Amino acid sequence: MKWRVLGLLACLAVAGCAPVYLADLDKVASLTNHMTMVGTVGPFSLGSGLSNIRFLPVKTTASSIGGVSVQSGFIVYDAGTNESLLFASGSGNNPGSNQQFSLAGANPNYPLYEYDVTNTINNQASIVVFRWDPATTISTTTSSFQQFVATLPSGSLTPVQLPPPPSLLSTVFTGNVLIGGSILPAPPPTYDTFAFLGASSTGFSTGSSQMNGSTTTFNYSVVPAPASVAIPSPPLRSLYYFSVATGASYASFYSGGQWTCLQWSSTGAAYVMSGVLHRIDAVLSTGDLLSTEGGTLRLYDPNGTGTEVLSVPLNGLQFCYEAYVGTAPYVFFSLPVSVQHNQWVFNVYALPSSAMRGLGK
Amino acid sequence: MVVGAMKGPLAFLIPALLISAAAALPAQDQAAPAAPAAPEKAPRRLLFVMEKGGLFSGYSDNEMIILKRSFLTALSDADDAPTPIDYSLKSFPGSVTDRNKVARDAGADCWLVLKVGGRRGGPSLNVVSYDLLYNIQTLNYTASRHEGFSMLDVYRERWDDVVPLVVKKYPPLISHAYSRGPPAAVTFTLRAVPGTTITGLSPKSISVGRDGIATLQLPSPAPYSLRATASGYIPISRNIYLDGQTELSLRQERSPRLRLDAAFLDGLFPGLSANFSIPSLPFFVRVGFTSFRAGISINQDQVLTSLPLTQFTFLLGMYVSPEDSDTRWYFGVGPLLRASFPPGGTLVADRLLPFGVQAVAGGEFPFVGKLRSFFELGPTAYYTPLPDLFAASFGTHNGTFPYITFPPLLALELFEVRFGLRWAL
Repeated sequence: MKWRVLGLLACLAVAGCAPVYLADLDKVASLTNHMTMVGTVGPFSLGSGLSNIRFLPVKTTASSIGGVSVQSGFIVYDAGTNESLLFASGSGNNPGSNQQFSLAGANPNYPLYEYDVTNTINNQASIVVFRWDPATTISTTTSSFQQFVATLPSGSLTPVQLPPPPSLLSTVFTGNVLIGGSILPAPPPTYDTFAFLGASSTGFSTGSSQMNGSTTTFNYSVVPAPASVAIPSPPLRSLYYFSVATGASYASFYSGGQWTCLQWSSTGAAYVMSGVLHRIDAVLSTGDLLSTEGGTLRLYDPNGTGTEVLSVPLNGLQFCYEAYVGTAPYVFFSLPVSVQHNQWVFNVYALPSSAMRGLGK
Repeated sequence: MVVGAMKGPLAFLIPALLISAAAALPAQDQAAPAAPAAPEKAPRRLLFVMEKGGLFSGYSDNEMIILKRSFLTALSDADDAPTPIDYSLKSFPGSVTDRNKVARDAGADCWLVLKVGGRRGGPSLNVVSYDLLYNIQTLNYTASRHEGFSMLDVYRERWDDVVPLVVKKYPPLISHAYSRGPPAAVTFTLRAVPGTTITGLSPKSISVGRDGIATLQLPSPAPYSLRATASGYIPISRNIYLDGQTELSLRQERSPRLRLDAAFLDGLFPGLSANFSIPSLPFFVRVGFTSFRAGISINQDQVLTSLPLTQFTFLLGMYVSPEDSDTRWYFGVGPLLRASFPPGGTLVADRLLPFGVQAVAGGEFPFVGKLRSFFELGPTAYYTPLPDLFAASFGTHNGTFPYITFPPLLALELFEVRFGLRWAL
């Protein structure tokens, strides 16, 4: 009898397991149904008390979406007063040692650090970390921003701080502050481009650099912004994007209690896109402006006032970047999934950029 | 005149006598005492069992079958022999009580075990028999033969050392009115639902006619175990002692078409389901769901677990136990679908384990009235389109226990347990 009771209790104990279920996964099903899942990385033990966990997959070199298999990337999260960056690879391995950045002095409306991924620097998977410093003007010794490039020769993360800015940058932008910039993806074998926005008391200046394989010499070509561009005063911060599709520049900045988007081209007048009232996080190769502010994915038509053409809740899905798979641009998303024992798994999805507007259907 | 001479009382008496005589002639033909009808004979019903008389019997199993046929043929050829009922199951109970029950269930009123043992060239026979009507052992007899059975012309074997004894012990019963004397055949009327099949009263099952009546000759007094089965009705088993009564009405309850389950799955996750019986068949169809909104589990960080997940099941099952059994065993198989309605999301098929196939084996047990408790084991094979994520979802500690993964797309959980109460409507 004793063994029967013990057996019954053992059966009930084994059977007393909740089913395997990941709510995070189902929350985003209406979005990911449109996408191709291109990888699962993890699980990783990251510790407790973390927030704002994000995952940026390493950019693919596959020539078709069927060949994409993401197996590594960068985990970014906030822990206390620091923001940590980890390189994570494989399934179930411990992530690499982390690089910590202090969150002291962060502006609540702007990310203190911006992370961009590229694989055209020395043809290696790299993450570029920008920390904009509008309070410091560019001179021959200072750049008004810090840039870290982490390359991954063997899976370990080794941040590199660039030396003082090249002379061209200093020459043209002396007296400016660099207040924003972003990496524009390019189809291989073309190099990705780094586009940036400088500001002075007289106006904006823009520039770009091919990320051509040297982490020390960026080839800046500076194109001053039209004189008509009005900038908020003081020019603390802006997010800046350059559209290859339209040749236009976009500055997204927080002013007067809301986000404003300014558009201009090298030849046309700058104007405020009155329809764009949210932070812009990317300008896609289709020309559409993408926003993820407040956990809602929004797309704006780049023409005219910026009509909102899509608005869907992301439910935890995170925009990573736009990248080329072969010759086709894709938008990559990642989903941090909390699993048992305080561990994390990251799913990566991709969607053709041309299909982004269909996400709401 | 002579006529004139017959005047007076005689003149009336003679014609009256003549008329009476004339009237008596035909009456004498009709009332001629007919020879008394031969009383009806009801042969006894003998449950016959032949066994090997030890592990080292000289005869093979096939030869034993031939010998049994030979005996049954010899018994059937004898006058006034009991009707044999062949017991074909492998093991015959050892105790008299159990043997009597088996005999009653088979519709017999006596049983006989013939063991063939000893050497092939000199077999020994042991005969044990019991009369259920008189509740006495009638035979316990052992005989040895000096020659073995000739298997090539075994049809000539007459079993003269056994058959006459059996015939003598079990003469046919004579039909006449009920009396307190020795058992006699009486006409017995059974009332039941038309189409009901009755077993246990006679060697062959009988069917109740469209008028709801079945009539048969039964020895009385005698104990009987009858079983009545009818499509759409719960079977009935009755032990009766027939002692003079000539009629019996069976109260048959309709089989419930619907049974409702209130159950707990896995930990203590509640669910409801409806089981629809398929008429005339032991099958049932189940449709139900389990909500994981609130439950108790041991593999989560919190014992009280709430998941926005609902599992819908469809099951085609079959009862292997009769409907009137205290414990009813059943099994089934069917698909299940997992639906998820996470906060902020929409109602979707679960992405990780959207559907599966479940096999169920369970038992029902008496509880209270029409409520029965049940316990099921339901090993389930889930399909997962995300095998990497499924494996990763368990973390790095314990593998995928209690799931067994079949790469790349299947996850088998053997220990899904469901228990609860079932209400027959």
